[in-house]
Amino acid sequence: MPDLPTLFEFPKYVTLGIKNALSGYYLVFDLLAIKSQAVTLDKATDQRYIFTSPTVLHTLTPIFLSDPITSPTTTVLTNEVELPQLPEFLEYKLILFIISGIIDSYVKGYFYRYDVDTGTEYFKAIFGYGDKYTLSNNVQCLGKFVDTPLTKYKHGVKLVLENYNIQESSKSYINVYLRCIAKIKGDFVSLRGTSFEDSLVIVDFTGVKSLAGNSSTSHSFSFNAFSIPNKKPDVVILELSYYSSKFIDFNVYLLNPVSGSYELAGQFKGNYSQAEGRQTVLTIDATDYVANDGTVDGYVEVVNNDSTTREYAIISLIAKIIYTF
Amino acid sequence: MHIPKIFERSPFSSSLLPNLLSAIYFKRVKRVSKFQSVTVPASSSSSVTFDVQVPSIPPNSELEVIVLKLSFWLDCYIGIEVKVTNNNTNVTNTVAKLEPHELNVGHAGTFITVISHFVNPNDSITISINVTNSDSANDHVFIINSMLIEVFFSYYQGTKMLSDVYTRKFIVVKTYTSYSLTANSSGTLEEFSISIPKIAGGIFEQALIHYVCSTLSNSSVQLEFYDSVNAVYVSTCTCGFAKANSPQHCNYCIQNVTNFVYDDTLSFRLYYVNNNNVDVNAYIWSIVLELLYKGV
Repeated sequence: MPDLPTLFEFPKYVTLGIKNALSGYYLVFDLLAIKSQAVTLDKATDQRYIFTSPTVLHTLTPIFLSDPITSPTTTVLTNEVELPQLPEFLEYKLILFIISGIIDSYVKGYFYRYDVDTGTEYFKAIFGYGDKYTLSNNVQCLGKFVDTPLTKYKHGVKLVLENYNIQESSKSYINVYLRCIAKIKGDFVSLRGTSFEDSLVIVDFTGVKSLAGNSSTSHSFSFNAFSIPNKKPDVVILELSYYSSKFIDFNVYLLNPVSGSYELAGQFKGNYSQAEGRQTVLTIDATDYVANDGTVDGYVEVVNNDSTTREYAIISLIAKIIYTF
Repeated sequence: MHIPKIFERSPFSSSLLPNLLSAIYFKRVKRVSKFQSVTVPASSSSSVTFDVQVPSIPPNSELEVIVLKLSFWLDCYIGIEVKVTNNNTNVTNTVAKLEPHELNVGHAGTFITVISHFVNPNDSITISINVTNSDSANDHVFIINSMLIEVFFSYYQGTKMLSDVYTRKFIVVKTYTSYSLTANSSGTLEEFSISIPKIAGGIFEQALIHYVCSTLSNSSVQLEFYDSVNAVYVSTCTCGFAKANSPQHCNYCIQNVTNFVYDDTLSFRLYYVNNNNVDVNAYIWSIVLELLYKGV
């Protein structure tokens, strides 16, 4: 390690600028987006119920819908969040949404950001498959919420849950919050005794894709893991957040810069009629796949092992680049 | 080396440096395993072992928590038990468990479990994962996508926080614990009352709970927080569903519980439901409270 200044050498400089000493470091804080609660959905009927706030139930005019599979009882949770104005020496770097919880069988969920002024909705995530096989699914989604630099501080969030069960009501537990990562302005400065974690969104929400039976597709990606110029990070982690129907496999291949060939570096096998965990976060160690110039090349292969068309979505692929000093 | 512009004028006093540092979330990460696939023959077990050294933390810093972060996919009939041995003290503890089950279908995710109750920075440890296949007819697979050790530390130094900056603190509420859930019953497993610590110059802003556990089919263990206004426990995070044919379950729930803090205290309980006709086990991997403070 080069002879880095330590944290406590700095105070001896009388006019030390703190923001300079810590230039480039990140702060992380969280905002509540959807109030956490158990969401109980009535069984699918010809009525549609909408929650306009987490605690107030409104019954809308009954709508006759003949096919219960296409007319689920729907719950909509909305909220508006205001991102805090940051002090002068900080700037927003990345704002992620994180959804965690458990979703009941027969339930399907959608997460949106919406523009509070225009009402325009931006589809951000999907989870739950709405059939009997999605018994007590984990919901762990991670994705980019808005672009930075910020042009708006107030944003709408919307969670839609649909119950496709015509025989009984369902109960799901969903939590949504925003993780805000702010950066101290200025070039990065190494200080002994600290660490530095950068977050890069490599793949943003692909939307829901259809994949023909017994076929496969792939999503290529490439990024530079040198968050500090010319300095190799100690650890590089990829977080793959995805959604898929049953029978879908996800394989993550990374280019080994030494051998020049792609290697399997992460895997989710969905080739089961009752496969669950179809929306979660896989953590993949990509450290050994960083080339000398910082490049990491790879692709996510999506395989449909079923004979019929199935759905999937990559909600996000995020790189965590970690330095230790 | 990039030299900071230390002589630039700044509105901040040099003595405040440790305070600003306290705003930053420091961690050191040790790689334990990258991708590997373990095929376990029918009705047998296999184990994978890793010898690693836990990262040290710098002088003048304070340890917050050490966690093992395991990302995996496992097949039906596959169960895992993760044990950690501290080679400095010869203490071995189970830190995570998921029993094999035919409905353990294609379970995947990234989970954490706390190890700092018996492991210190810089210790040499051995992590062993015992993988069991309960299927008498077929081989099954356990996939490690990655395994990491994360050491969180901070610089408080007993000084006041700087205005407008944030800091965070971790409180380990529960380390790995196994519970037996009585057949066809429900009730409280354990109750907790956590006082929110004060940090000079900072006000408490948010509390997040990290709850990781595994349950068997047709049973659940819910984390319920006390709503003082309405004098009721509110069910929030849950692990598993007490429904017939629900798969065995492992869940990592991250929950914002700020609204349940009254008089600087957070009260909650673990509440179980077992609709099976036999006693079953539930395994709490860890419960960690993450507190966020803002400097005023």
